Amino acid sequence: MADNISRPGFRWAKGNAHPMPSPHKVHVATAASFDVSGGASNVALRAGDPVTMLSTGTVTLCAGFEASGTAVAVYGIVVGVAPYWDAAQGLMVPTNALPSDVAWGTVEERKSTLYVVPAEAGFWEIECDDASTATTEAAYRAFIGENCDHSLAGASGTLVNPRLDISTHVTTTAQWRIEGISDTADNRDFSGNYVKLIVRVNEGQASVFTASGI
Amino acid sequence: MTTIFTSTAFHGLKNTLNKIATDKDDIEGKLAYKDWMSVSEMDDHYEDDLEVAGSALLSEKPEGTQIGAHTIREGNIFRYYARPFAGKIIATREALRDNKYSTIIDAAKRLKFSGHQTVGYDMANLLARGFNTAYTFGSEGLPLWSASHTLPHGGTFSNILSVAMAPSVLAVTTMRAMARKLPGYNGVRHGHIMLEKIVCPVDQESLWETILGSNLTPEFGNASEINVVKRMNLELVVEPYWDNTTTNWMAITDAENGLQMRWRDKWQATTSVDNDHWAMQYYLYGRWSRGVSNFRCTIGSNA
Repeated sequence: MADNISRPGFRWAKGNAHPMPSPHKVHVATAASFDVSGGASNVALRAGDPVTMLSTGTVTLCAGFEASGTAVAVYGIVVGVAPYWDAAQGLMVPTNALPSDVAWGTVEERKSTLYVVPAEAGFWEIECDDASTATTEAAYRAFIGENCDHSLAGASGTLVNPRLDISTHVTTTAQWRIEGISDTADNRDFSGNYVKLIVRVNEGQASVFTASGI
Repeated sequence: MTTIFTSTAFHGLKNTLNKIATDKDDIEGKLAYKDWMSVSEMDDHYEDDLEVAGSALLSEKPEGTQIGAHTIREGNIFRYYARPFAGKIIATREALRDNKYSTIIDAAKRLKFSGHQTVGYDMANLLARGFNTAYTFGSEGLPLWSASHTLPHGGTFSNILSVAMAPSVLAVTTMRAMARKLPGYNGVRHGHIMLEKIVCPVDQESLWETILGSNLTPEFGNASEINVVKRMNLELVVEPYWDNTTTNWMAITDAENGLQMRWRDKWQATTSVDNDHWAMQYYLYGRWSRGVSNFRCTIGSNA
């Protein structure tokens, strides 16, 4: 048995209609803290991380099943990060990861901005977080059509490291619908860790979804 | 993850860096699969290889009696489907225009490097899944290494060590004898199939160099017994992408039509402009088939 190459985070696999994802510009509230329940605090948002939309019209890190917590509905996946306000320097600085707790106050020109592809725009590739729930290609195939939450339990340092919490696969509701096994050549040993699956959002925040999924 | 924005590689937006540390696209010529597979091209969407068994041993014919009739029989058929592999990198025009270092985004070269690695891994999957009954070849439905490969006229043969052995002189000599005993398509011991190469994961490389290269049998206390394995002049091939094991290994024999890689479309790189997103798209596409048409080409040790 060997682990497959680990590459946490959600990756655009294919679109529902258009092959290229169309990012949507969204904002993050001032001083928003990105903390993982039962895990790392003050992580940073970077490409591949899931976000959820708050009632304030801003987005924040989308919790999954980590620490057996309550997974929340997904808004989208971060694909890019705009420059953020660095108060120490007094500058907007370019970055590939939006740090936690960026206090931009009420100055609109300093607001934190992310480029997010709405989760419902297509299919996403995501790797599983264990090598025990399934150990064969056939066992993974049997999960197709079931639902599953993601987990941020692998967060480390400032990295969110989202993965699919494959042990939570259920026929009832969960954040993501398992649609297939990724064709990536990364999937070499199905008895190892980090097998990549293709998912679509099931508990989403777009108008066509219910927050509890189906 | 999707598009390369200016933020994706923001350190390259100003000339402040000394060196760019990254993978270098220099592995195409080093890929090991070319040393344990035969590489060719295919002309159609798929190709079929067919086993045909000829006549067996003849009969002693008493004078004046009728001569016994022999026949031929078709065996397994092996289909080679060309499988496409592709990838793309999307970069915004702003990211391409503002990045000061050509080696940071370098989309075309990065895709090509990934392509070479993909070929290497896809070929090595033949070995990684070689003992796995979920991944089979030909109409007989058996994996690369099996004790039950079928013969057209009936019966079976094995290309797997019945007792798995770690690398050793004894293991190679056992395998050599096994190769010599392999039957031809007609079911009769061929007798002239010889070992040519040893293929192993990287973990066994140094051990095999000792076994294959020592003048005397490399065993503790031995001071006189010659190393018969050295006399076989076996080539050592280390397959770095055979990474699901540290203990399995195999020998390649001189049997024809063995492990094969067939290019349908060698790498094709294209670019396009997506004005709607003001982005550039870099594509790499290749198509190939892989498989085996003669299981006598290899003997495996599931150690």
